[in-house]
Amino acid sequence: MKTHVFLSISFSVFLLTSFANVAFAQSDFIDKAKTMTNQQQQGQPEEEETDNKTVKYVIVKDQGLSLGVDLSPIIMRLINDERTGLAFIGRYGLKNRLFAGAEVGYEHIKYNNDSYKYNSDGSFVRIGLDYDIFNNEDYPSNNNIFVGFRYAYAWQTHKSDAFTIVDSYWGDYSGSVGRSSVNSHSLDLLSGLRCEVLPNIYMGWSFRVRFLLASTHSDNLKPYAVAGYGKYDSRVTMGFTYTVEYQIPINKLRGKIK
Amino acid sequence: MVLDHKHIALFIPLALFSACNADDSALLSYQHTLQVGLYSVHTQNDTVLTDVKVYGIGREDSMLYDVESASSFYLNLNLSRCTTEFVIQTQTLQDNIFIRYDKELEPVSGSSGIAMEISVDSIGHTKTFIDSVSIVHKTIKYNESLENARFFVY
Repeated sequence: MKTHVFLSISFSVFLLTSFANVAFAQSDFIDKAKTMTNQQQQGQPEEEETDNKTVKYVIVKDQGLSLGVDLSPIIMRLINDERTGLAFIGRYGLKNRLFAGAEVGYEHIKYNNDSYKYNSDGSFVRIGLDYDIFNNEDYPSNNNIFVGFRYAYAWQTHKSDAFTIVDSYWGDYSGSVGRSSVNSHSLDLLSGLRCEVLPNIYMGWSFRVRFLLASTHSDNLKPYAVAGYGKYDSRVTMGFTYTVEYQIPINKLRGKIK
Repeated sequence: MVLDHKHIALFIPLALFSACNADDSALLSYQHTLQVGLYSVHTQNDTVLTDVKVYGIGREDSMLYDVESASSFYLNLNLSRCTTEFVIQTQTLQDNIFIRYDKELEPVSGSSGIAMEISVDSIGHTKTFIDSVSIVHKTIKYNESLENARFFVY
């Protein structure tokens, strides 16, 4: 409970700081856009009057490669110290509203109590596409609202050094299971947003519905969880990411309005 | 206007994050028992046996059941083997049953422990008062209470 309260307060402060930055960044963006629009209009006043056409703008957002970290495994570690993870993300703008996304990560699970010891080490890679549905002409910005998908492949090894299952009739059953491998394929359908909280610094989140497509493991030990997916015995799981990204300022198109 | 929506939007994960992290601390019941229902071979309806004794072969000293009547059984499967045999007696009649199964360890959670998931392959039996057996739910999992097999008796 204390952990939950601490997390909520910490993230509230963090996000409120971010909101202020979003506000400044957006107002700055709008000012720039208006200035550019005025400059364009001042440069062609006669054409505007004679043609009497409605001027339409196409917002072109910053493109390029962004790299970042997914904070959700770190948050999960605060909630559940038996699970440790780390994930990095990459995003590349293919077109103005289409992005390629990739994620790599690692997850370690360790249970150690009186009845059993369990260890799992897994890695995963996800690739997919995001489509930006946020295109507000009144408030142009680099912010995004995404829908997309990820195909994920996870590989892991796991073992149980000792376990005991209580059986009052035949007697307790104890043993151990050696290390074996697990390979899994899954699909994420995602929706989320990303805000430019500082120049080139983005923060965002996504919610994901994850489908376990296939998984292979040894016959004598089921995995507790699949790295980057969640509980193995659920064919569908919910997930989330909380990301901080840095967009490498190459091919920047900030403020470009056609 | 847009900024207000962002406030709400960026707070959504916090609320859901808190809500979705309820502690899953339900303890395992360590179920590794075959749930059997008794049915009349004549009417196909559930039925009752009287003066019932049930024990595992190898554990003749310990009765699983010693009751006046029973319409169902929970048969503890021996986890250190892939076959468990039981003797079922009703009045002066006796049948033996042989249960073959595969088993797989399944970690449930840190607080709940580890369980054994069992998949019943086949059930054999003598035919003194048991006419036939059907497996209706072959998987035995923790936290599930399903009838796994039906014994049709004369």
